[in-house]
Amino acid sequence: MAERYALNSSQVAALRALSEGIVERSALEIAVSAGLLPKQALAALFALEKLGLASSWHPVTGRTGEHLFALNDEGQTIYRALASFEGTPPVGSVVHLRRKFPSFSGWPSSSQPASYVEIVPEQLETTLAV
Amino acid sequence: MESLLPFALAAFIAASLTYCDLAAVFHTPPSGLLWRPRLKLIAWWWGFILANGVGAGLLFLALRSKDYFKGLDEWLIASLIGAGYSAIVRLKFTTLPNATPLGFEALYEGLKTIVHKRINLIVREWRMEQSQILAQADMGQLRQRALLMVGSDSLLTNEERAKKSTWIEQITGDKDTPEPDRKRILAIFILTDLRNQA
Repeated sequence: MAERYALNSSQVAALRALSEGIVERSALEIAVSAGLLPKQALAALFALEKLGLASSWHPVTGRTGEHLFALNDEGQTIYRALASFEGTPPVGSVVHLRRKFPSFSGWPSSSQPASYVEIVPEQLETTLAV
Repeated sequence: MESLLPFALAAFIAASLTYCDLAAVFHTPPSGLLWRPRLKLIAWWWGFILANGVGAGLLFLALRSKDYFKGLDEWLIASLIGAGYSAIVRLKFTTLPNATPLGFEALYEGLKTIVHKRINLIVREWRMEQSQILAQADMGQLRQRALLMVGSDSLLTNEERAKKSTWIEQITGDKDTPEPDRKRILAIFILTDLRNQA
């Protein structure tokens, strides 16, 4: 099944600020890194979580006790696809997602769904199964 | 003995690439760390670099006599293995039923994740503690300092500088965010290289 992700510029900035997703960051750190206001950063992060691109949790034993966010596998795929762009691609751009190289037994490539990200204006974000 | 220098070359190249990878994610480790977290940070940071270097060296010893390297100079083989180390250890041999990958990738990625998480924990704790201290200054001082840092950052283009200055002014005047949070944000901005990411 092909998947289309529609992300606005705040969500792209938040996604890029989460980097490879290995390290978790708080909304305040994301606001700094993405150049967003805290409210915008939080909205973007929750939208990414709702789209299944990021995870969040409150550390139980951490000293900081802040709500932390990190990209999951799908979020990392999108992060890598957007890495070739400097800043947010213009509204209307379509970025194809390159999945990890399939193994030989995973051939033919028809088993790899053709997914892409579309950059949309603010407040038009959603994900659709095509 | 002959193989020792090419081994060292493969190890050096892979270790350098690992250092660049870590530096791109975490930037420079903070200088104001106490000795205990500093030792932990050094151990994770340089331990991972060393492990990758040794891994590339061992890979060189294992692969140098294979047919596909026949006729190539040992130094060239060592350079290729050192440069391609991270790709080689991520090779997937096959996919088992239920799309389960078989290869070293899961092991390598798992180790990398553990190391990155440990380093991030140390760096974040330092950042949070220091930002709380710095956020005790008044808003005007923090704004001034943040603007000064942006103005004196020669890595920024004029456009980036203007964008970041606008963001600082927006944060300073953002009525939707409580003042302690706004001060923390400016403190994090001042303290870290996060300002150079977006």
